[in-house]
Amino acid sequence: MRQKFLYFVCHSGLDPESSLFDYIPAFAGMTAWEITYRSVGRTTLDVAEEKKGVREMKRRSAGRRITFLILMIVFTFPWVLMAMERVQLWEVVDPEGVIRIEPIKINPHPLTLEGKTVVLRWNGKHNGDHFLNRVAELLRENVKGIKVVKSWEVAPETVDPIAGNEERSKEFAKKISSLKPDIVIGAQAD
Amino acid sequence: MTIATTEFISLAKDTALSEGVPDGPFVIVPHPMGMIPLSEIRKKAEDAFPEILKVATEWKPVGKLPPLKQAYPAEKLKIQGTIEDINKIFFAKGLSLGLPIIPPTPERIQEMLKGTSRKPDHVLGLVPPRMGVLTVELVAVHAAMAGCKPEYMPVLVAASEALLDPRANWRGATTTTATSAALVIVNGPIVDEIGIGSRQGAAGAENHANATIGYAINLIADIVGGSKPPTPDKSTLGGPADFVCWIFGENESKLPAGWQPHHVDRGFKRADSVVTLMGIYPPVDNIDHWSTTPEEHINWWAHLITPLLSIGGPCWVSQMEQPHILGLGPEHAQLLAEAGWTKDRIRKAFWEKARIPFSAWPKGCPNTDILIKKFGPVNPDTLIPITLRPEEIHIVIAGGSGKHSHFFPPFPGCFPVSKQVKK
Repeated sequence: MRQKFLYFVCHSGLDPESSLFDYIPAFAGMTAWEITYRSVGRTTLDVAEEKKGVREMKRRSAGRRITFLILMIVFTFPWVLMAMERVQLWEVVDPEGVIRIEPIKINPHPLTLEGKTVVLRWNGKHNGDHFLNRVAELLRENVKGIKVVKSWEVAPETVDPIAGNEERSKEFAKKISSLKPDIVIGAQAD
Repeated sequence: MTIATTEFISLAKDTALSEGVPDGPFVIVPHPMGMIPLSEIRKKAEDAFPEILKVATEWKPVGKLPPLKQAYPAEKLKIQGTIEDINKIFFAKGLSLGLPIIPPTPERIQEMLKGTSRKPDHVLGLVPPRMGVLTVELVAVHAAMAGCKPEYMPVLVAASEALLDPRANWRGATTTTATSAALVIVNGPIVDEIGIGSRQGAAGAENHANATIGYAINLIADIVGGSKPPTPDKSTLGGPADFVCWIFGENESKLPAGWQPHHVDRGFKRADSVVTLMGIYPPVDNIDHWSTTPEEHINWWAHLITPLLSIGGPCWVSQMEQPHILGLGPEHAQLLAEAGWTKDRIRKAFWEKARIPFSAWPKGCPNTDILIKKFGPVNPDTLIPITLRPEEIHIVIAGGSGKHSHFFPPFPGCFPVSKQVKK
């Protein structure tokens, strides 16, 4: 608005030595006339001409846009296709491979524990011995003539909870086998 | 017959199957057994007793083992999709660890096999606990998946052979509840030939050979060996070394004068290229910026390590018979060597200092009798060493600049296994 006022001052034709108060009414009048012209002062012909011009402008603009889009698709689509990963049929090698397990024969379990030797094997983890101690008590109370052997008492070297390795496991099995059990009950406490 | 808890029965059954018993005689009790009062454990035994009697007298084997199949050539899979689809399908089928893999196409496998003179149908062994048959072809498959270069194959084959050696006790290390992983140390000319990280950040990122070989080793262990959480891998927390194992080359360029590299200590010639693998607990960083004498440094390090060896350590006498690995940082090695210390002197000093008073062992700790048999009479004030002999302390120059060294405690039952790298 300030710029417009200054422009008016420079081009209004009023006496340059007039005071500011002389400019203000003339400026206000001009501004009021401008607003009136814009809202109602244009003729029907002016409006029609304007609309025709705008339609033409829009038509040309839409045409340019469509042309641009077609050109973009034509020139970039192959590159987009190349960049996109293609779905294809893959042949890959199964990384799992096969397994090889040799069967071992488990001795048949006795039909009764009466008169039999039961070895209780503890792996050294906390409370495994207490669990098996109670099992030993219950076996002696409930099974006639049973002999219960606690491996950790007679062969403490077989108590090694995380031994894990094959060599030591075979040593333990051999030692427990030497106790001549009819059955071994192991507690894998953790 | 075996009594196992609800949380571990699946591991028990998997172990029995892998040992040739497809349907073992089991009695299941509610988890846990450990760390509960005596009255509770006795009640659990009473509740389980009828089932114990039943299984003891009525169990009969009924199951069958899977049929034996030809290991070579490995079977092929046809998958329609993108590389992303391959990754999704592999992970869903348990054929990857969750990190991206490169599809193991036959062409990539053939390219990978050019890196070794070993025949692809050669069987290296059975990977526990699944007892998967590991051929050289299958090593190449996992090498391709991990992004290895063909020239890495000899190191990967040697590491696989070490993993499958019974002394490595890989079954124990991979199915435990502990945070265990494989440690791989590479020595000899192969380190520089293929760019194994051996200096600054040797075991960390930005070393292509280390990253891909470490990844391939774990792929082999978990896919061919079948050890994945939650079972049979029972690791309570697991860790990043389950993806890429600990692997570095010894920094032989920083060996003090007169010191031999690790593989020579192990009986190989200096010109040999050797891979040494051991199952370990997570390593401990010894940060010592202040010691100016060897005595100060060893005193500090031994006292730092000793309480941390609680990893159940004092209770497992077997660990005392196993080697423990000291990864000396070059600057710490220099401090010791400049004072005229040899590796033997370091071993002896560390062994004498890294001790726990017997009074610190938990009551009810098993194997006290065995300890006494191996070590001699003890009283509460007796200081128990971490190993039975100072020779069980192995020394490797590990890493680059910086006042850090690392202690690698062994997982129980795991011994270091060294294999020569053959091209």
